Amino acid sequence: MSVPAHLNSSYRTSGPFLVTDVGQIIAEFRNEVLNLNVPAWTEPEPNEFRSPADAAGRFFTVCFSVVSATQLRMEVRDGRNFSMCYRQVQILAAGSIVEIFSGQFHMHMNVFMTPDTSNQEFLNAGILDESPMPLNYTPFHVYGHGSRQWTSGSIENNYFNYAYMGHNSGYLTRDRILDAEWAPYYCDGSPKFSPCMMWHYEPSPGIETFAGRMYQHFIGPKNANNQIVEIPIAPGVTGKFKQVISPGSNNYAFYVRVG
Amino acid sequence: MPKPSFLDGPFGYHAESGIYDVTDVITRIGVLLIAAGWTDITSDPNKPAYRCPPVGGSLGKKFDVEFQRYSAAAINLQVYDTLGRASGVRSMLISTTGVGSAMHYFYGPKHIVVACQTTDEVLFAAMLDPYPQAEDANIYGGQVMNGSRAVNGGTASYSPPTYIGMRAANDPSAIFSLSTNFVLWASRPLRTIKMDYMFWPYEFGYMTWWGGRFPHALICVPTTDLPRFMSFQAPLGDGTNGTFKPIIGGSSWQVALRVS
Repeated sequence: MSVPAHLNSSYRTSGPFLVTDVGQIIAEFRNEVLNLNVPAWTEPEPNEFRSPADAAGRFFTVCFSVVSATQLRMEVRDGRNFSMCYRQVQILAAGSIVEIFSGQFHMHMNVFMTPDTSNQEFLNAGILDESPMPLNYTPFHVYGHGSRQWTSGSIENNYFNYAYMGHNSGYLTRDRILDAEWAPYYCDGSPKFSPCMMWHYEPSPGIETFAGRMYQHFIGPKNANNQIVEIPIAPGVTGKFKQVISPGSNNYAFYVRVG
Repeated sequence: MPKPSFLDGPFGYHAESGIYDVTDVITRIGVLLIAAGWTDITSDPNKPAYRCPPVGGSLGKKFDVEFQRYSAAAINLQVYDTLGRASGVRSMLISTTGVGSAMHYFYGPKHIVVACQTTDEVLFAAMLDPYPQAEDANIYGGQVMNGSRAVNGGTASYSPPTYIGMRAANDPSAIFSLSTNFVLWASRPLRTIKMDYMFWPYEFGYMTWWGGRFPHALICVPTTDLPRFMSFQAPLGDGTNGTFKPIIGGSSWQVALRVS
């Protein structure tokens, strides 16, 4: 039994590091995805980062823009150059701790508002593993999300299990992570980790279908942030995953691959 | 990739028609369970009882099923766990008029499912597959049962597949109850974006506790897409397909059992 497709892609971790200007985040992200990721991303326009295409030609693009020293915007586009979402994160004027997780098919950014830990923030985006369907089964395979509304900067729908995705006439955010409700433990009390499977939603006529799995992510029990756990990913093979900021649930959290 | 463990291992299927008395059903169940490796532990001739083959592990997990003829049309089922604690009694009705009943039996070392196509009622018991936990991980839980009706062919309520009888913890003090809360993920998508069928394990747990998967069963699209007992092919995860039949469920989803 081999490693499942959604865990068989590149991954890297950067940080945690202190940021006092969001321009530092863009610079660090650029270094990560252009210079350290294998395969490397590209930067077709300044501050516009495009993931490497997979075997089916799928990719996603994240475009950063600086609102102020403490406000960072991110637009996510799919391979057709359609926008999936516009989101924002903010850092504290005194500085915030940031971590960046990236790979050929995913990115996730933690922003720790220390010492005020009640308002942690995140940005994420990626493409989905659509198996058992073919990789190019549908154009709706790019997701993106973040803690804040694009223009006002207000906290909005910052639930970890929400994400923006496209549909036949636009894009929208909603609860998309399957199973992010119950049963994060086995009967002996040990944690249960599951692939992050996502819903697709077609608002007219309101049909929920299966979209795919997030690359290099699990969902698992939520406890103290930042713990790193070793999870079996195939017989005799384990991977290390770090719990990341996952607001909106008391039971579940995202875990992103770090080793 | 190999099959997931809940779809691996032995299983059987038998169908017959023209059944007018549940005595024949109980006799058939006994023959099939013995063939699947269960042991006859009957002490009361009016209540044939069987114990499942030993599971792995060293904790002595046990699972007994006991059937009783209440009338020509009504059959009762009660199960007993490792500690010998009894579940509630559930039942199903068959048709004893006209051409009699068409019966379907799905069985294996960890499950017995009896479905009457004529009355659209079922009776089942199973030990859940706890993979990746050890076989005997759920020694005080992880055993499910239900029937379409209350004892003695009574009220058709608390019926499967949404209601399941289970102990709500892996704990010697856990109480058996019938609840919808034990069925996990019943709202998973049953279609892909292109509307192809998707299938999921029939999984159980309670609150933060995950119990396991019903052996050789899948959740599938509702009767509007797959009529009851219509055979269909589903991928087994190893590149091959298995044949399943939907046996119970409604307008949202059904449970299907493996036939070949």
